[in-house]
Amino acid sequence: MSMVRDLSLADEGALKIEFAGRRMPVLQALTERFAETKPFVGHRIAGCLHVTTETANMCKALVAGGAEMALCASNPLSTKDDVAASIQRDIGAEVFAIYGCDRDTFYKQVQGTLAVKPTIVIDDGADLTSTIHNDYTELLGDIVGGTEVTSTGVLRIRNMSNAGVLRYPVFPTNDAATKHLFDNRYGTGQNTIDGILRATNMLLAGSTFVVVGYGWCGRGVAMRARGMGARVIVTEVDPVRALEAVLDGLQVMPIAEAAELGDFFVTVTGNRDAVTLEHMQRMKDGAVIANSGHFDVEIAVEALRGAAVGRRELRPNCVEYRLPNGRAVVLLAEGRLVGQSAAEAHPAEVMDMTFATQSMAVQYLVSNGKKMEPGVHPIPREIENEVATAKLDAYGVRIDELSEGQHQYLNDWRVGT
Amino acid sequence: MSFRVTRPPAELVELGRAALDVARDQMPVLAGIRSEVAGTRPLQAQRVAGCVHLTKETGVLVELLVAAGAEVAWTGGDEVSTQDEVAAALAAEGVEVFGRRGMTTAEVEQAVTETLGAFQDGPTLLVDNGTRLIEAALSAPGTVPRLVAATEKTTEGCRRVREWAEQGRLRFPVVNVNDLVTKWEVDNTYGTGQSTVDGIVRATGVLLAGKRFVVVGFGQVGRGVALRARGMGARVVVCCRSARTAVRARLAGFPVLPPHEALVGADIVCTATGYPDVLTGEHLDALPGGAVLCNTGHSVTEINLADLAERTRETKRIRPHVQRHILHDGRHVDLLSGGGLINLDAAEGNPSEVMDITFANQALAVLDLAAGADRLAPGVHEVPAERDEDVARRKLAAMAVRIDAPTPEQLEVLTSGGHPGSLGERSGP
Ligand SMILES: NC(=O)c1ccc[n+]([C@@H]2O[C@H](COP(=O)([O-])OP(=O)(O)OC[C@H]3O[C@@H](n4cnc5c(N)ncnc54)[C@H](O)[C@@H]3O)[C@@H](O)[C@H]2O)c1
Ligand SMILES: NC(=O)c1ccc[n+]([C@@H]2O[C@H](COP(=O)([O-])OP(=O)(O)OC[C@H]3O[C@@H](n4cnc5c(N)ncnc54)[C@H](O)[C@@H]3O)[C@@H](O)[C@H]2O)c1
Repeated sequence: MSMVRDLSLADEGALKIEFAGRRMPVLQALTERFAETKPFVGHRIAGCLHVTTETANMCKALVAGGAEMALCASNPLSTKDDVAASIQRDIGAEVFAIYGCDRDTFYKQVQGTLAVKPTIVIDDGADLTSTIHNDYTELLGDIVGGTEVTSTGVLRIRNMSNAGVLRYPVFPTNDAATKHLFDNRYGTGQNTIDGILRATNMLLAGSTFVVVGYGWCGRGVAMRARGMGARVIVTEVDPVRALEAVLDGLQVMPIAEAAELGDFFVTVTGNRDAVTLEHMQRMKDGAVIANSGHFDVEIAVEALRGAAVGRRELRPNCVEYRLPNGRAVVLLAEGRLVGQSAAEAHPAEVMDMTFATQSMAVQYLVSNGKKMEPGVHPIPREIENEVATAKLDAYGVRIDELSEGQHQYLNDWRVGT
Repeated sequence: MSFRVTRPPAELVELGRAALDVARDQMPVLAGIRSEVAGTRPLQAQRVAGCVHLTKETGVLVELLVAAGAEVAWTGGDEVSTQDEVAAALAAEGVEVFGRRGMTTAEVEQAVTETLGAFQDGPTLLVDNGTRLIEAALSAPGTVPRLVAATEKTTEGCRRVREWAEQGRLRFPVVNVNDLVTKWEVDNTYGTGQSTVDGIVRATGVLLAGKRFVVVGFGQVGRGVALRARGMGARVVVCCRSARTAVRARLAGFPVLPPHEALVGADIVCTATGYPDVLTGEHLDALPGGAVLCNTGHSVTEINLADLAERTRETKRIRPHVQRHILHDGRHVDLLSGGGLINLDAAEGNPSEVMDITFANQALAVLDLAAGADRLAPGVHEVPAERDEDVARRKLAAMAVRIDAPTPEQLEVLTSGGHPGSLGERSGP
């Protein structure tokens, strides 16, 4: 029934899954717990995710907890065929994922996954949720709830909810602190620097590094660039975020001015046209421009290509465009996510937090989903705390506990001046 | 058979020229020196023989020497680092180039001999990196009748030259172009600091934030690695042997611990000392399972591989630069790049901007020698502190950073060498 490239790749996949698993201690602890308590017995989970070693470890946790599981790929280009084979053969989920397959096959895979008749839906980009609501409404009766991992997917599901069509409760994993603190801040912080170094091998120490957008990702990128010895400039449109950057000791100015100073530019705004052709025309000769926002709309790549009078590929993922003013700018990874294109996607340590949070959200839905209203619900605070505590344990870090008196003090509205 | 590069194919020349164009753009200090000497051609009548890894950055140095009027012969002095396209492009400009990528050790020797013999009356100046040319010149003085002086780039090489000087074998002056503050700061500290951290991430793919990262040795290189690892969010601990460097590490905000304590909780260990047997069996026994071991010091002897092998039950290659050692007691440790230089193996070594400074020092030393080597006695000479200050100024200009000019009195203090913290101070092991 399943669709994978070649089951004989499973041995190789198993080795990689194990290697990643060793760096996912929180998820491993959960797996052990689920194996004892079996919270998912009688539940059927449909997942649409990047089919990677990290996802495999989450499947392992859910199957260990007694779930019957089916999995398809949220993006055919991120599927690792050997990992898919091992999830099918060793972990025992039904897998529908083949690297590089076409659109038709992709929809057949979604179909195959939904044949499990899910009670729980795990989504990355809201494809399962929207397909179910459009074409498989007969499944809705059984579904107790779902989770969604990306901001873009959350946006889609919120729109469904606002339009009054969403029929089950959804937890937006992206909004949990244990996700965006690790993924957006520390994960993107490191993989952006990593991608820039692999694409250019230029020295960051002493350079001027402009971070466009000081959100979760921007803070991480700025912190790591400074840590590598760069002088960091921030540009923003939100006054509170800009103020935060100033008090973090960074220089803040409009992009039009920063354009003239930067050696490196990184866009992390989630917005379009953060760096325009006009900005690029002001840049120093040889300035490097990269994007770490989700879509490739943050840098005006088309306008740059249109205006350029010369193009030279300096290295893989590193193209120089000469402008009519005689100066050149260097665009990395054609304006797509530089960390994912030129380096490796998030390290296992980051996905550990995301998937541990998600697995616990699934457990919560199993016990409470029936009582929850359809709509987007914040991930319960206890889940964040539990995941963070487990991660601290893995780091070997201990913290203090509130005393009885402190607890009372914090909860009593009558104590004051 | 000769290793001389003759009539290289046009496509290879084109590739080499493109590579040199890219490197030149990132080497503004050399570009500045080049534009100064292109008019006056101070190296006219000089014949320069060089033996430094033939990369695109070295190519930019060679171009400068040619632009300054010198006749140049060059070889890489190494089995694997010669970039054939760069060799081709230089040969097409009239440089005598010897060697290719993928030679045996004996072939490397032969290419060095050919380089030394490339000119009718022999070279007047040598540019060396590891004393291959100097040694060849000393053992066959007949081949170098007009030789006036040499430069040497490595610490180890300078130590050997000093020995030869003491034995009375050295017949020409040699300038040590390694011991400059600008070279250290940019190359050993910030260049190697970045490329080491880069190498670890490329090899393992781990998130550095939160990792317990032990740096053994806090010299020029160790300090750079510690700073950059901290900058990427790691919890860094430093092990030192010298009290002076330990104070420096502590005042830079790093916890300093003896190795057997530091290693107990280590996720990643990086040696950066230049000494053998920094991590031996007793240290390996203290490591927690899953620790990553790597080295960025001079040689593969810093981590005692025999001790590791003795404790190893089985090894597995788990990623291109990662060898997992399963130990007899069930723990495993991951050794990166076989204990060799992690930054050269798993990353790309020094960026062009770094070689810009290193080679600027070398180019200026050659120009100084051409102008006045007759005033130097045979022996090892240090580059004067003014030169250091000069290179630093050129680098600032390239970065468009302005500072105030010192008064003549201040300049004297700055370059006298006696004032603590002045450029004259050399901080060593
Ligand atoms: N590269 C990765 O691995 C990775 C990981 C997580 C998220 N992301 C993506 O990165 C983007 C940013 O995510 P985030 O969590 O930091 O979002 P965020 O909303 O916290 O931050 C975005 C910031 O950009 C600012 N901004 C918007 N338009 C701007 C403009 N024109 N100029 C300057 N600043 C502007 C906003 O004011 C905000 O402060 C999103 O597209 C997200 O999907 C990437
Ligand atoms: N990876 C590279 O690209 C690169 C670049 C430059 C230099 N190097 C090499 O790195 C090494 C270090 O260079 P450096 O400039 O930092 O030298 P350095 O002399 O400044 O520093 C070495 C430090 O290690 C300390 N040390 C020695 N043995 C020790 C031990 N057992 N435990 C703890 N500390 C110990 C010394 O006290 C000294 O402080 C040299 O071998 C050098 O050749 C490598």
